[in-house]
Amino acid sequence: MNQSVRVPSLAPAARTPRRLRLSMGREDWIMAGGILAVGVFLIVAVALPLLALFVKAFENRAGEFVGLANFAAYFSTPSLTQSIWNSLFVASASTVITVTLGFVFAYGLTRTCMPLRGVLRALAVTPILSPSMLPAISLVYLFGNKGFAKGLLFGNSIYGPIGIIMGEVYYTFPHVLLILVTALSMADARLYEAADALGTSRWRTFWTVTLPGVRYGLVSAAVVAFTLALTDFGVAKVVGGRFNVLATDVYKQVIGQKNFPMGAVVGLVLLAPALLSFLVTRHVQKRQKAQLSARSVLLTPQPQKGRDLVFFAVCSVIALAIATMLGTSAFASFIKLWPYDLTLTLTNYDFSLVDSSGWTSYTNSLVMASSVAVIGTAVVFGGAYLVEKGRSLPLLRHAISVLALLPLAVPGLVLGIAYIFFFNHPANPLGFLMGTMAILVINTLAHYYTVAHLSASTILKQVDGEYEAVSASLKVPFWRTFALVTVPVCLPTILDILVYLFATALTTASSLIFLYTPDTKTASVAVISIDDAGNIASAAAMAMVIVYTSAAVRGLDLLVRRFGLARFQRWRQR
Amino acid sequence: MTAPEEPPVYLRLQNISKHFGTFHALRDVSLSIRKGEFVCFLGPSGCGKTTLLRAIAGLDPQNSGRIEQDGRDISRLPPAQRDFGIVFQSYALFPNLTAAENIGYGLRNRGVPGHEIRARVEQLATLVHLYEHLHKYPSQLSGGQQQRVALARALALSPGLLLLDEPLSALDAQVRQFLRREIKEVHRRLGITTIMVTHDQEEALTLSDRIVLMNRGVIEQVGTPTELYRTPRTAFAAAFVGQSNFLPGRLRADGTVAVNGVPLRPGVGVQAGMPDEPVQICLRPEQVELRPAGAGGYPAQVTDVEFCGSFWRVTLSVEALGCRRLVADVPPALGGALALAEGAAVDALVPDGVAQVFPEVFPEAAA
Ligand SMILES: Nc1ncnc2c1ncn2[C@@H]1O[C@H](COP(=O)(O)OP(=O)(O)OP(=O)(O)O)[C@@H](O)[C@H]1O
Ligand SMILES: [Mg+2]
Repeated sequence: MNQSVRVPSLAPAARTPRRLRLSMGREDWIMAGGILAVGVFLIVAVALPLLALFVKAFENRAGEFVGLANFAAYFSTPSLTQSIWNSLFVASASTVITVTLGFVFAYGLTRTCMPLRGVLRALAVTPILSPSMLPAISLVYLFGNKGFAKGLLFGNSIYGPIGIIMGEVYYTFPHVLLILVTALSMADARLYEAADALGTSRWRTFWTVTLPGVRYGLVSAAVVAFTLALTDFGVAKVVGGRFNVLATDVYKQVIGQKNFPMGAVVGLVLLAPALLSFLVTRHVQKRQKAQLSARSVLLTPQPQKGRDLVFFAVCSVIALAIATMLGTSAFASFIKLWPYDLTLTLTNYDFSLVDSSGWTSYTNSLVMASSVAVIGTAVVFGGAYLVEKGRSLPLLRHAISVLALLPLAVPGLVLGIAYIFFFNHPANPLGFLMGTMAILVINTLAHYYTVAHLSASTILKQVDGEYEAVSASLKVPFWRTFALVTVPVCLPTILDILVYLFATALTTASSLIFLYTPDTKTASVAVISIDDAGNIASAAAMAMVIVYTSAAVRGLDLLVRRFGLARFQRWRQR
Repeated sequence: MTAPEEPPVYLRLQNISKHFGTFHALRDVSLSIRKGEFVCFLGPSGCGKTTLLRAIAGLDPQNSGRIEQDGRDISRLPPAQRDFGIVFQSYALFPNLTAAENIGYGLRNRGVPGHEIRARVEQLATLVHLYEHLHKYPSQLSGGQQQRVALARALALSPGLLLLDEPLSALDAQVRQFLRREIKEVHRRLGITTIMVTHDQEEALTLSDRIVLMNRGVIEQVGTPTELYRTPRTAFAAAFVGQSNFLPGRLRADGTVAVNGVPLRPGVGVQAGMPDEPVQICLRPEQVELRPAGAGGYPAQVTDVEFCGSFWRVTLSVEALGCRRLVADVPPALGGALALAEGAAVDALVPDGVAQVFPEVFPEAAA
């Protein structure tokens, strides 16, 4: 053996021979093909449309490059720039309110022994079932010109910032709540024991242990609330009145005035803060991961009468308010003529009276949402699998994992107009997709890709990394092991993804509003158009149809998990 | 180089190198393993054992170098086209399949008829003493049982080569002992060429026909357990395999070494060097002889006595050798006779021709 002293080389790369490449077997080709397919999908469905949007902002209506002219025009039009401040104002205000209420509620759920926690929590997350137009419709019923509770506004109109803020608080509440519940339940009991042992006062413990412990959760929650409120279209569309925000501006420019370049500019303006908050969230999440170690002891709250009652009271009020919002739309959808004739009726559900699509929009929604769920789960999970476990094409795999994160930063509305620019471009061979159900499916899947992808890759990272190696040594092709082992092991998460994609596809409207045709109109888009036409009761009814459906799907999901899945998962028990 | 009566070379590694970025995990590793041999890759953590094993399997191919298995160049073959069974440290058992299904996994894919699979699975289960647990899922098995399922699964297709990456490291001491014997037994019965990665020298010494001692991406020494123990070629080998005392010394013109001015006659294998060159002298604890004080030797003082069952481990301070920590192993009978206890005075003797001499610093440390 050569024992001579080795001099560290400054240029090892130059000396080392090129990487020896294994010859590709059939499996490797199939794997590479799969990676390529997912990569192409993300490029076509996410990257290229955004590029088209970007390019459009620098063109005039005739498609000629005009540099920054559109931006100059935009920023010199006060009626347009006013929307930036309006948007920032309503988004900030609703963020402060939602995060405050959400924190109190989450604290009550995780750190106190208040009664009825299960019921309160269930009520608090109901907004997740509905499209964002629903709270706005309820607000109109409650506080509108003929509203029962109009007096509570002291003469202010619900149409405008007040309505938007209230609607956004409702709409963003469950998202904020879930993040904060997670953050608060990750507490390490040992810290609290230490504080106790040192005789720290409760108030001080709260400031020195509790709050710092959830600071990342608070930042994430605030960022999510802000982004959702900023980019949401449904609430502002229904109760915005003459108060313009960015989201409605995009719509007006593109659909109303057919001013595509200006629409693109507003879209980019809307994209900027969303992108920024996306980066903040990423940063925060990386920090948060390390917080809870395997040795941490989970905190279990001890009963404390006074505190528990206070929290119960506050949380009940919040939950009641949420229930009232949902209840109002539900109730109104069965009422003949609010508030004059309160007899019950089903006429509001006869959508053919108010919309040429009638109930077809609902069946369209079902078809669309099921396609997104089924195809999406397969693409997302398969893609995440290939990214995590694949061996070939390392660069493309990395590109996929980056591209998969991008949609989270892109508001639906922006993705929607990006699709118009990209798929409507005369040179695009994929133009035939425009106006079909397929484009709605692709768009919705792209829009919600990130969350689904992240849950898939999280679970896949937990799956033993050597299954593929073992299966190669046993001469079993990887897809067989994927089907026989990986998928069964990940089944609960796959079901999560399926339900998530279905439910979000059902409630989303923001990007579809640009892409539907009378034949492919979905229920959520119908809510907007029916409301636009002044038939608010039918709009409420259509929104409720969506709520019933998502509630049914979630219920079915629970049943499947409890009774169906358990059978196939016997191996999980010890 | 292969003697006629020895089995033919089954696996031949030639100049295997592997780097991760600028970090060299393997440098120019060459090695031949004969058919039916049981070889252990031994070395400290991070020395490249797993990397070498994975290169042989094709899981993380080497950057350069050639691998030949059974006369066939497999350097560029993907793992699925190589012929090996493998057991990972994590076992990588399929959690949703029973022990029987895990073992029969590869057979089922080959379209072997059901009854034949069952027969083969039962045969393998008997081999690894797992028969009564075949219907259980991995989560219902103990660590040792899981390990045996993984072993049986790796053997199911009768591979020509068995690769084991620290298969026993996740188990507690007693189970390890037991499974070590079981692995040896399986190897004896099947005669399958086996490579096992371990950083446990005892495991390597008791199991292997030959040990491949690795350090920092290179092979330090290859040899039978006794060769490695008796004639380590480097200070690293002497330190890593078995216990050793290291004393600083200097070469002398007459072929002896001086430790603190005291001449010692070293054993075989001493390399000639410049007189007065600084060296390290390695003494195994059992090579140090103890006698009653005044019976002849270097006066020593006992600083610690450890009872180890079949022998006593005595730590001494020997002023004559300038050594404040010399470890000696003493048979219990002698230990009793010397009335060994902390503070006791004895004489220590280093017989001629046993000490090993190495260059002063670990060559690696100089790099
Ligand atoms: N994928 C990788 N990327 C970068 N470095 C790596 C990678 N895999 C291994 N290494 C490095 O190569 C060296 C050898 O690793 P290897 O896993 O072969 O060690 P080992 O001898 O098996 O150690 P252990 O006994 O701890 O398992 C280590 O320093 C390790 O950090
Ligand atoms: Mg290792």
